[in-house]
Amino acid sequence: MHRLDLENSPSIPARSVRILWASVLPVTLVLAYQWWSSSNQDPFFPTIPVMFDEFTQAWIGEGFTQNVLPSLTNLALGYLSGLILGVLGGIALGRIRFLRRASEPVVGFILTIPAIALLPLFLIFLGIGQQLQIGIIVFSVFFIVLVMTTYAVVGIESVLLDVCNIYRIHGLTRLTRVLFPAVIPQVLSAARITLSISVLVMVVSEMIGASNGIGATILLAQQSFDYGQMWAGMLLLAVLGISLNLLFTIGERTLLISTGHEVPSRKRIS
Amino acid sequence: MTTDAHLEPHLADKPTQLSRIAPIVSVCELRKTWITPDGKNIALDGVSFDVYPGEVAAIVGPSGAGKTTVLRIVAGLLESTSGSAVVSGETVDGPPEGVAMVFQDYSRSLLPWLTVLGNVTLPMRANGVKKKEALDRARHALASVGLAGKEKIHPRQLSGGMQQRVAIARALAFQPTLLLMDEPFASVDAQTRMDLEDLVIPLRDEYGVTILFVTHDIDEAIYLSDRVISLTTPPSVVGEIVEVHLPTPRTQVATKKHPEFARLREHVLSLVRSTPESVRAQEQTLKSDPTNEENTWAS
Repeated sequence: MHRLDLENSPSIPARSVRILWASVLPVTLVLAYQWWSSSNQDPFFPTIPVMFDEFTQAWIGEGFTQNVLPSLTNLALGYLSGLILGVLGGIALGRIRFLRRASEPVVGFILTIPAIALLPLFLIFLGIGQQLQIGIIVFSVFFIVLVMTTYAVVGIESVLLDVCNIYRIHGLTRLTRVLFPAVIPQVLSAARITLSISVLVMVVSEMIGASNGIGATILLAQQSFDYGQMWAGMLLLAVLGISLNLLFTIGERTLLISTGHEVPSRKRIS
Repeated sequence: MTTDAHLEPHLADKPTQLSRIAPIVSVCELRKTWITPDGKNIALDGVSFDVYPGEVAAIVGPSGAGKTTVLRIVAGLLESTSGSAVVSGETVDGPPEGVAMVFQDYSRSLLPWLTVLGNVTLPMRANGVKKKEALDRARHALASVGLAGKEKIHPRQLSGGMQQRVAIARALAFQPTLLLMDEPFASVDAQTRMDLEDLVIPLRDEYGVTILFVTHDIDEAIYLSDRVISLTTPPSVVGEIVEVHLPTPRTQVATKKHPEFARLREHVLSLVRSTPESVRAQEQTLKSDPTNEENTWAS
C-alpha cells in the first residue's frame, strides 16, 4: 500500500528547483499587476494592498459571521446531503434493475440541464432564504453522484456478487463491507467534480436569491461601485477553492488508504 | 455431516456400497439453453450425476462443454432451463446452505479493502458466527493453507497462488459440507499449481468436506479425485463417470508415474473428445444388453 514511489519522489534539490520554476509565473503576474494598477490608478483595478485591506474588512470578524459562515454552512449542508443521498440512491438504482430502468429517462433529462439554469424555478418552490441555497446545491450534487454511483454499482465485478451470494452475505453487511467499499473510487471522483460545482452554485444562487452570503456581498459591492470589496470577494473565492481542494485531497487519500484501495499517484505534466 | 465415507478411503471405490449412502449432490437431467442473437444454444442436454459424502469429484470436458455452468447451477448461482440439482436433500433454488465455493479468478473474488483475515472471517461474521470463534477458525484455516503470519496484510500484497490460498482458507473456515471449486488452479503457474493441488487432499481429510471441482486439466482431475465426471462436447451429456483407483497417499511424482494413472489419462482424454451422439449410441447398446444394465452410469 505504501510503496515507495521512486519515480515520483525526486531528491530535495530537484524539488526546490521545481518549486522555484513553478512560482516564477504567479509571482511575475502579481508583481506586474501591482505595478500596472499603482501606475494607472484605475478605480476598477485597485492595487493589491487595497484588496487585502478590503479583504480584512469584508471577510474577517463580523464579515465572517455575517457573510462567510452562512455560505459555508449552506455549502457543507447541501454538498454533504447531496453526496449521501446520491450514493444511497445510486446503490439502490445499481442493484434494482426495474428502478434503474424506470428512473433512467428522468435522470438523464435532469442531468442535461445545469442546476443554476433552474434557479427561477427553485425561487418559486423554495423562496428566498437558506433553503434555496441548500436546495439547489443538493440538486446539483445529487444527480451527478447518483448517476456515477449507479454506474459504479452496475460495474462491480460479478464474481464479488457471486461471493456474497454463496457465503450468504446480505443486507447491511453486504452494503457496508462489499458494495460501498467497491464504489468508493468512483464516488470520490463524483465528489471531486461536484465539489467545484457546488461552490459555483452557491455563489451564483446567492447573487440572485439572497441578501447575505459571499455571492450577495460580491454582487452588492460591484453594483455599489465598491470595486475593492468586489476584488476582495474574488480573492476569498480563490482561497476557498484552494482550501477545499486541499481538504478534499487529504480526505480522499485517507479514505482510499483506509479502505485498501490504490492511491492514484498524480502524474506531473512538467 | 457424514464423515464415514472419508474415514474409509476405499468406500468410494465400491459403487454397490455407495448407492446405499444418500448422495450429497444429485444432479438430474440438467438442461441449460442460452438464448443468443444467433438463436438457441444448447449447452447442457441432460446432465446427471451424483456426488457422495467425503469424496472428491472432478468435472472435466472439452472447452465450452458447460463444466462451469453445471457447477454454477449446483451452487445456485445460475438457473437451469430444466432438470434439477439437489444438494443435501434440498432442491437447489439459490445458493444452498453449507456450501462454499472457490472461484477461478482469485484476484477478483477476494475483497481488496479487507485484510487476509478480514476476507476469511467475513462470511462467518455475516452468518452470525461469534467474533472470537470466527477469528479462531480463520487463523486455523490460514495456518492449514500455509499462510500463518499473513493475517494482517492485504490480498494485493500476495502472489496469485497465495491469494488463491486465502480463497481456499475462506471456504474452509466457513466449514461447508460441500466445497465447490471452479477451475481453482487455472490462473497460477505450473509449480504453484502442483503446490495447491497437494494442499487440497490433506485439507479434505482435515475438514471432512466433500469436494466437487471443475478443471480442464485431465491430469489434475485424475490426481485429485475419487471419480472423474466427463462431459462431452456441447450439447453436453455425461460421457462417463470414471472411478479412480490410485494408491494413497498420492504424490506428484509417484502417482503420475503409476501405470494406472497413464491408463486413466488416456481413457479420460478419449472421453473428453467424445460427442453426445457417440455416448447415446453406446447407451443404446448397453441398454439392449440386460447383463450390462447394472453398470449404466445413467441409472
